[in-house]
Amino acid sequence: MPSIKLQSSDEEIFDTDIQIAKCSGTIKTMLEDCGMEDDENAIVPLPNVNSTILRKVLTWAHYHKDDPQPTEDDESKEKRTDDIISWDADFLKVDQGTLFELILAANYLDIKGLLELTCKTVANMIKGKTPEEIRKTFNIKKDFTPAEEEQVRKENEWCEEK
Amino acid sequence: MNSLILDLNDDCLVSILTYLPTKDHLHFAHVCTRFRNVVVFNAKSLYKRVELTGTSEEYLLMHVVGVGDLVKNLYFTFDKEGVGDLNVLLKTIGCLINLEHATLNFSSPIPLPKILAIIQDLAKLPLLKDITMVQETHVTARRWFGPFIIPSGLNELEKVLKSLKELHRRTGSPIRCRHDEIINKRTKNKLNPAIYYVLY
Repeated sequence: MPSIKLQSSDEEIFDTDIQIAKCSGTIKTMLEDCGMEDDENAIVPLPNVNSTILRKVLTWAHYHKDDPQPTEDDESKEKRTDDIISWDADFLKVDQGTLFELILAANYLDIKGLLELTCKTVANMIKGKTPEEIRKTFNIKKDFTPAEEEQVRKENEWCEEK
Repeated sequence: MNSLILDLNDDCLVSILTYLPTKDHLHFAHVCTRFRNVVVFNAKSLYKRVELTGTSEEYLLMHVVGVGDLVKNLYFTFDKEGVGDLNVLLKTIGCLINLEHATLNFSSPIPLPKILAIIQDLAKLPLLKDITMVQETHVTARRWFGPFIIPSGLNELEKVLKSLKELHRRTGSPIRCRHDEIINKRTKNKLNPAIYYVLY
């Protein structure tokens, strides 16, 4: 099986099966556009991903290597967030910092399945919460200007009337 | 370095929002300036398609925040935890002045008068092209079914259909129905029979 060398931002080299590396749209394009596919010694630099995150991403990609290509959005179907398989759920038992870095990596590397999984996980953390509970969950400060505050109040008005 | 949710770029926050039910978007927008801006600046793509359940947060988002006129596709499904407020839902539907396609999911129990009220209000929208009704039929769901409730099998669906035909006969639009089978994504290979009725 041909392999390729991926280099993380902290300069660790990952010898990776080419098929697995290509689940990343970004890497796939780089390999094809630069004609690196046949060069065993070529190194693909990934300056936006550190070794801890890259290792996790590759673990995920290895497990999901035989998944069918994600289909285009079907507008008439319900969007689900309760269809996360147990392997993925276990894989994402990580701290929030790691979760967000995985989202950034999936976005940068263009890995649709991983981006979908990580975003669903965050959406599930937001679901059913009040703004204050969301702030608490993600350690966010309320930073509205008085004008925005007034707008927010207006957007809640009807709720209170009811 | 420990990343925070605010370290995500807008693309990532938008991706999260696409998996967040519409009823949770108002609370999301009320968290902080950044979240609010992500909702407002990406409204055009975020609200082309919405899923409504009939909550006041959805109405406020569509009406007061004002994204209702961006909606082209509506997916309606009754909340599994409880039936949404019909009046709120109808008010929300009234905001969707540019709506073109509506899909109604009958897989949870829905009282017939409610379905009719929803369909009648949808039919008032000037640009509406079609209403698709989905009923996923599977044995385990049957224990939910009670009297006067949809889906209690095809008969109730036929009643709705009859009222719809009546409605469309008055407005003069032609009607066609379609039968389809869909694959349940969660059980992957198992075929789950479903029935679609599309009204043109």
